[in-house]
Amino acid sequence: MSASPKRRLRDAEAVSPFMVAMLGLCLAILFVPLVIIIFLSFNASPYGTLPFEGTLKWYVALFTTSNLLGPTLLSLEISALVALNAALFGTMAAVWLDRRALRFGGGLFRIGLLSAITVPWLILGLAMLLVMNAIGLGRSLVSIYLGLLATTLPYVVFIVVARLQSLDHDLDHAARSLGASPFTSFLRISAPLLLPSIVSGTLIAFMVSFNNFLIQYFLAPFGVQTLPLKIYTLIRVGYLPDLNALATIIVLVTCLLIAVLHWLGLRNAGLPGGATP
Amino acid sequence: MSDLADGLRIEAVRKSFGATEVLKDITLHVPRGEFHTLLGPSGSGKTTLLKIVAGFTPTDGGKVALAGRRITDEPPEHRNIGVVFQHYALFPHMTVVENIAFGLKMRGAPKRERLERVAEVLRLVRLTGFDHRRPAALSGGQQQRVALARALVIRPELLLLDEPLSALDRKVRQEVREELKRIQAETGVTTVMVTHDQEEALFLADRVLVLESGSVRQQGAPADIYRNPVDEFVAGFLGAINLLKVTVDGEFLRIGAQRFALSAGQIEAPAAACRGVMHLAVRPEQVIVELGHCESPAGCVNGRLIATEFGGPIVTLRVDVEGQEISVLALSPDVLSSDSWQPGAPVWLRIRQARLLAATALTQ
Repeated sequence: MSASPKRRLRDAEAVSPFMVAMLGLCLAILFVPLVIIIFLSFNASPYGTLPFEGTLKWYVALFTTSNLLGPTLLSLEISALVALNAALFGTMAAVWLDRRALRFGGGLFRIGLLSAITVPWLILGLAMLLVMNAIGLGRSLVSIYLGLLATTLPYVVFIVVARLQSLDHDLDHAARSLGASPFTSFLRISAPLLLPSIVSGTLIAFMVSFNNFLIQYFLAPFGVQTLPLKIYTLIRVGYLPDLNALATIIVLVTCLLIAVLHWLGLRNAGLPGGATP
Repeated sequence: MSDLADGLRIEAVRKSFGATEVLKDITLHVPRGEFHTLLGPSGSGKTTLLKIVAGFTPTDGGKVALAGRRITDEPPEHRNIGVVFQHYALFPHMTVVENIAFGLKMRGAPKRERLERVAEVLRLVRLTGFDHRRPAALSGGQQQRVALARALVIRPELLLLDEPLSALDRKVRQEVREELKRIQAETGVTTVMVTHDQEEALFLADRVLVLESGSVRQQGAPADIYRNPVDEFVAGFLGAINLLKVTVDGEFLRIGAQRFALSAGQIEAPAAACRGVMHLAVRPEQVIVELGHCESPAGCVNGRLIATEFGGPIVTLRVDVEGQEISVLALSPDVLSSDSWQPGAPVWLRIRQARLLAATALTQ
């Protein structure tokens, strides 16, 4: 054995420069486009050309001459409704799955939910359109609501059920033995402990719903445009930087929301990237 | 009606999970104010029985009555039973006081009464100054005291303890065990504890019930079942024991070539069963061991020392008698004071108390 003096034992916990570089690259891919959009939203040139000339005219245009506000509001309304309903039904389904479901039924339900995540939305959207046509709903707001609810429900269920499974079932037993009915026990004991996961599930449902171009594309009635559909049309015909202004506002609101969540102590709420307690 | 008697009454309770019969016609009675322990290995059904009494699991058949009231089909919230869980099950989002007051709140007690009773029960479990801490900020022993206080504050008809000490480390366990005994005696609450720890069961209970694969093998006062186990399972589960193959020969017992007698009172066994090959069950502390050879041949047996195992206050001596190994406990000063206790040394044994058991196929 002739160990070269250059080979030294490496600390297994040490961070390698390669890992740091990869992390930097990933973060750059994520954030550089955002920074460019924010930068361009303050640039006077309508074609994204330099030199940079600071202006707020695109923000003024966004709230006056552009027709982006209508689709944005519609998207917000639909997504909020879908997210809240997904939170309600998702939590109920999670409780059933964790506490009541038999192995076979529960397994089947899980597989069903998983397929709603794994089957490409392109195919889901098409299939949903066929079903909606068959049952007479066709392309309508109700169809969009149902389609988005179906695609967002699994996220809530999986996030909440993970938390439920980590809860000691004896907590519920303890509350019951102390005189709480099943419903009171859920409200007083389980619900407060589940709240962070329910909130993060709701937020993810909101984002998935807000972003879901494909489902909306297939199910939206003609003439009704949600924000993704509007952006899609604009990109085909060419758009003004007022869209950059809208994007900047959306990014800002998202950042604020995450800051508020942290402030509420929900940073470990099972949001992607949050440390598990 | 026996149902009207005080305390807890369980009659012919059965429970199966799928094809597995977990409880087979369990019948038992815990008179008011007594402390009973269900002792058994995991899988013996003891926890299932506790859950049936608490109302967390329905029975497949049989009756449960508490203080003369049939509760077989009552939901847990109507049973007035305090439960202490193995892992405490304290509500993590509530303070100590909120945890303990929860049961009173559910009963609609006014705030002043709640605070008074919480303070009173905290004094009882000797835990003051932690009122507004969250459970996570308490040690295991403190958490278990809070759990006990929470179960007692509702003045339950029955207190159920599910392996309450097994999550604690050794020293704290001893401490909480003594507290538990004191608190039970002070409150006089009827108590049933489930445990797999024989030492705990023997120390705490007025009466121990040994459970095995869904039925009660033996029940009685701790010292009684310890001294007089009905079979090898109970004998072995309650503590270390030697099982010696002996043959009954009139008034004598024969072990190999040696014949010895046990005087009246030393041996306890159903007389009718004493025939042929039997097992003599002898606890290691019931044997007196001396160096040298036996002087009165009928009263003792000769053997040879195989090994001495030092264990602090006591030494375990392993002695070979006619090819069978016997463990004997001796106080360590007795053994350490002499150099003669070497492997191979001739010794003789006198058995102070033993019990004859039918030799089962399992151990033969």
